[in-house]
Formats: sequence, structure tokens, C-alpha cells
Amino acid sequence: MARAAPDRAVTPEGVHATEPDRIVAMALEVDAVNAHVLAAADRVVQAGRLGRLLDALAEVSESPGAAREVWARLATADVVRQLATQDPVDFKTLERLVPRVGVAAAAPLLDALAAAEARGVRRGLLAQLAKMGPEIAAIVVQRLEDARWYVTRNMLALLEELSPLPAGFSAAAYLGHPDARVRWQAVKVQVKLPDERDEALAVGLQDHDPRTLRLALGLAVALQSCPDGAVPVLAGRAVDRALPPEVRTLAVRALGHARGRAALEALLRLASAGRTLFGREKLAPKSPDLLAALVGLASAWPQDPRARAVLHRAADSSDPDIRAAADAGGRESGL
Amino acid sequence: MSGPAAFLSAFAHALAAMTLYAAGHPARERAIDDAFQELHDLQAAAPNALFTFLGDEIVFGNLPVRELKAWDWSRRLAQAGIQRLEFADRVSRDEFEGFLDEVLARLTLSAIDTSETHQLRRSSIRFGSVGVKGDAGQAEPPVATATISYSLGEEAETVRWFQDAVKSQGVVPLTEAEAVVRSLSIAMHSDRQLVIPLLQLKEFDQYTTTHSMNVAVLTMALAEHLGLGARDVRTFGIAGLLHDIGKVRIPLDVLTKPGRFTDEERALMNAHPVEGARIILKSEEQLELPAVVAYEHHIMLNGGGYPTFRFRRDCHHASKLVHVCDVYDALRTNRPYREAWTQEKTLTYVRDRAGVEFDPELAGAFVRMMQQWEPQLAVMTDERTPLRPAGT
Repeated sequence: MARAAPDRAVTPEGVHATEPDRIVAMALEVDAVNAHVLAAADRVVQAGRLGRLLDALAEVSESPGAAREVWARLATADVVRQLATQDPVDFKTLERLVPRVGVAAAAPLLDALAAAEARGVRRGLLAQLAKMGPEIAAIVVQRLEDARWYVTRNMLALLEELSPLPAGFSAAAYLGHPDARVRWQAVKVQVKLPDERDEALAVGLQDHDPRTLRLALGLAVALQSCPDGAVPVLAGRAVDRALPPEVRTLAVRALGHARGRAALEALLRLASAGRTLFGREKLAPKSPDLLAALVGLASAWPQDPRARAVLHRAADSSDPDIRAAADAGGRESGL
Repeated sequence: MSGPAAFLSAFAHALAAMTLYAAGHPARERAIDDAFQELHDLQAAAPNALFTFLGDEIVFGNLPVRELKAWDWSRRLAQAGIQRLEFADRVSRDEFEGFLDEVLARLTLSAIDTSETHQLRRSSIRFGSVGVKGDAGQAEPPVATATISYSLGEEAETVRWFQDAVKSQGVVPLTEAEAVVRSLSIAMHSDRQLVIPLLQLKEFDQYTTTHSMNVAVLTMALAEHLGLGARDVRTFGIAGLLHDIGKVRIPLDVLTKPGRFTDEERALMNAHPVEGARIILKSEEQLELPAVVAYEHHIMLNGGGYPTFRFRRDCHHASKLVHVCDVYDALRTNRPYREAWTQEKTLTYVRDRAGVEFDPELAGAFVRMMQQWEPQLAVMTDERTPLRPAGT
């Protein structure tokens, strides 16, 4: 007798294989695990469903048993690497996993950062690394030396977020990096180190890259600190017509924070327009640079006779802005 | 070449020589001598030499013999009903030659009676279609042959043995489970038409054994009816065989209790799917599907039944399939607390519960299969009685 016809055509072998998610879910529910369950967990990760697995793990007790073993399988540098190199990167899941992995997660994240082409991915990875805290700073420092400028720049950017930095660390070597983007980042890191700050500002203020210069000027003003060594360069910057006006003004303001007499001389020159026909000294025409110079003189050199003379003239001015600038201190922020 | 591989090669060579040359021919004697020598050498290292032939796979003890992968003789031996071969002790040259005669008889489908006579003798060489069990000195019962006449005695014995092994050691002997399923599959396909050999329960305390075998057979039949490939059918069969393995953790007096369960007893009973999954997972074997089926086979389509999933999901196709077969066999069996249902009543129940308890497609397919293949059902009242389909 012929065999009865099947209900459907022969299906390919293995179509009814057990889904890895099901195996892991069952293992967690019955609290039993073996090598095949852990291999199934690997397959869940490879399929990009780690987030769902972490959801499940969050719901079960982690007392010794299946959940702990599955966690141990997942919380590894390897899994972090898989997650960080997937496209798109699942940052939410990464954020849940990385604290479990700890410092060991740094290397794969840094590798992924170096390889990432999309700015959004780099930003996300940097943020994730920054959250790991200063414990990873030593690992990051080891990666500073790299032929790729952007890797060095990213490491410096990360170090900026990882304070306190390791004792004895200095990014001074990168202040002279051939790539301006690295120098810019190095200045930002160095000014965070009290012992390195003046040197960083001095180098930054002399940098020919406009962005680095602007950064250094901004930092000097914000920190109210200007190394004396930078004064000659700054004085030159303050009158350099090739620079944008706002950069020149920043240079004047930075001079106002220098304590050396060279700075005084520079400010006096900026505030003065020579003498009248009758031999009286006269103020420079009103400009942001003049106002900045007056503020600098008023705040840093109020006792200096030549500065006082200039300030007196400014105080007699019919222009209220000039009078206000001469009355340094309280109105400085208005400039 | 390893000892097991060297012996098997010489063994095959001897069998080939025996088909070519008559008794006493030097070439034949030399081949037998060589094989005997290889066996002697093998037993020097492993006195209790146990081979399992699983299609293309050969297992020596617990280790696969990879050097002989796809060894043609493995399949031929298995088809001849020799899936397990054990040399429990040192054997004599005569004993070995008698064994070769017997194997040759099986391979050439001649002199079946002779082989059974050999097996009835006290011998250190034991072989059969499924697992070898018992003390080394104990005479083995007649081995089922590769002809259309089958009993399921060896299979039932093996199931009981591995259930005991699970109970005592807590792990599933996969090799034996596979061997049983393979043997059941051979029994199902021993004739030109498919046969569905089902055991009838004789003693309540044997329910789990009988039921497991029946569910394995029904599962394979339904899987085949649905058009699943051979490997899936076998995997589903193993899942069917092991679906109730968690019951080894339930005391026999609870399993066979005639009256209503107390709350504690009910809790024990309801825990068997979880226990089954745990046992199978603990075995560290590649038995994910059987573990899943053991865990899910009491869950209904509508989410009822037990256990309750912590993580919401649908049951696996195999679990739904085994569920139908499980309920069918349970209802068709005399239990301490009720008489067996008739075939008609049982199939009506399956049909009525489709969409609620059972997957409608699977329930429908099962009912159709049982109706279409009813002439091929072979209900065996005695596991040692050779199988004859109801329609023959």
C-alpha cells in the first residue's frame, strides 16, 4: 500500500531548530545552564539581540545559577567589541553592559573608536568611555602615540574628560604636534593640569593655527591668567590687522591678565594715540581694543602712575563706555 | 590508526573475505586471524570494548571514532540490527568466528535462526539493535532482527535503563536515547508501508516508559506526515522520548496514585517539565530541542497549562507537536484513575480542543494522520511480541 501523502512537502532540514533566545529564556526560567545554553547566548549577541537578553537578565535573581553564568558569558571584552563594531551601534545596550565588564571594556571601545568613521559613533563611544572614569586613563595614555592624528586627538579629548589624570601625566609633547587639531586638543588637556597650564597657554597663544590661538586666548581670559612669556607674542597679536577683530580684542583682554611690565607697556601702547599738537597725551579712538586695554590697566595696574594717567583721561571722556572701562572691576563683564 | 579503527577495519575486511571465500580458504582464515588479533590488541587496552553504530557515526565507548567517518559498514551493520556491539570479556578465536558468521548472516538476510541461537548462548560478545544492558555474564534475550518482525523489548529495556540512569546519575545517556529512536524509526519503516508501533500499558508503574516510547513514535509519525526532513524527524523523536524525563524525580507512589492529588503532589507533578529541562541541560549534551520540549509540552496554545513562562513567547513547533501526541497517548491509556478512551473519543477531543489547547494545524494533521494510517497502527500488548500491523 502506498504511504499516505504528507500534509505538506518535505521541509528543509533544520528549519525547526531551536531558537537561541528560547534556549536562554528557558535556561533562565528553570535556572539551569550548560555549554550549549551559553553558546546560544553567544548567538543571541551575534544576532544583535543582546538588549533583549539584558532585559531578561534584569528580571531574574542573580543568586548563583543560570543568570550569573549567562552574565559572566556576556560581560566580556569580546561582547563589548561585537556591540561596539555593529552597525548601527546600540549605545543603550552598550551602556548597560560596560559597567559589568569594567576596565576590560576600555580596549575594545578604544579600538572601535579608532576605527569608527561616523562622527555620531565616535561621539557615542567617547561618551561611553568618559563614563568609565579615571580608571581607564592609564590605558588611554598608552594609546596617545599613534600615527593617526585623529586617534591621538580622540585620546586627548577623552583624557580631558577623565580627571583626575594619572600622576605625572603631561600632554606637552602634543602641543607641538604637526596636526593643528591635535595641538588644539592638547592645549585643552594641559590647561587642566595646574603645573602645565602656563606652558600650555604660552604655547597655545603662540600657535599660528587660528583655532588654537582663539582657544588659548579664550582660556587665558576665562582663567584670568596669562603667562609673561606670551606677552610679546600677544602684544603682536593685539595689533595684527591680519587677525579677525574679535581675536585681537581677546589678545588685549588676555594681556590684561599678565602681570609682567611688558604687558603694562603693551596695554599703554594700545590705549594711547600719541600726543596732541599741544603735547598732551590722548586716548586711542574708541574701539573694543581700547576698552579692553582700559579694563586691563584698571584691573591690573591701578597703582602705576602712567596707567593712572591714562585712566584719568578715560574717566574724563564724554563717552560713557570709555568711562565705564576705566572704572574697572564691576563693569568688566559688560565689555 | 587508533585501536578501535584498526579493529573495525580488520573486522570489515574479514566479513568481506568471508563473503568471497568458503570456510577453510587461507585468505578467509588470514582475514579472520587479523581481525581477531586486532580485537585482542584492542582489549589489552580496553577490556570492555563497546561500539555503537549510528548511521555514519561510530562511537567507541563514549568517544566518536572520527577516523572512520562515513564508514560504509556502520550503516550496513545498523541496518542489519547491529547498532551496538560489545566485547564484555576476552573471547576465543572460535567464539569470534561464530560471531562473524552471525553478523554475515544478518547482513545477507540468511540464517536468522542461527544468529538467534548464537545470541542465546552465553557469550562475551553481545550485540543488538539498541543498548546492551545487564550483567556481563547474563544471557541476553533474543535480539530483534532486521526483518519485518520486530519486538520492542530491547528498546523498552533501554528506556527503562536510561530512566534509571537519569534517576541515579542525573544525566541523560544520549547515545542510548538516540539508539532507541533510531531503532523505533527502523521499526516504523520495516515494511513497505509505515507502521506505527504503540505499546499497551500492562503495569501502571511502567507508564512512563511505555508512554515515552509511544510519544516518540507518534511524534516521529506526525513529523513525517507533515513532511519534515529525516534529521528533524529523528530530533523530534528524541524530544518525544525524553519529554517526560522529569518524572524520574517524582516518587512512584505519586505517579501511580489512583485518587486525586494533594496540593503537594500536584505541585510535584506540575514541576516535572521544569525538572525535565534541568536534567537534560545538566547532561551537557546537544539536546536543546528535547530540553525545550520537556519544558513546554504541557503549555496550551492559549497559554494555559504549566509551567508559566516568565518571558512571554510562543511554544516551539516541536513542543506543540509533542503536546498533541502526549495527550493522545495519555487518553488512550488505562490509568489508575480512569479507563483508556476509545480512539474515536480521543480524536474527537483532540479536534475539539484545537485552537484552545492544541495548535489547530497540528491537531488537524494529527487527526488526519491517525485516520489515514489507522491500518498501520500496531498496538502491542507485549513489548517482546514481534510487531504486526493491525491491518496485516
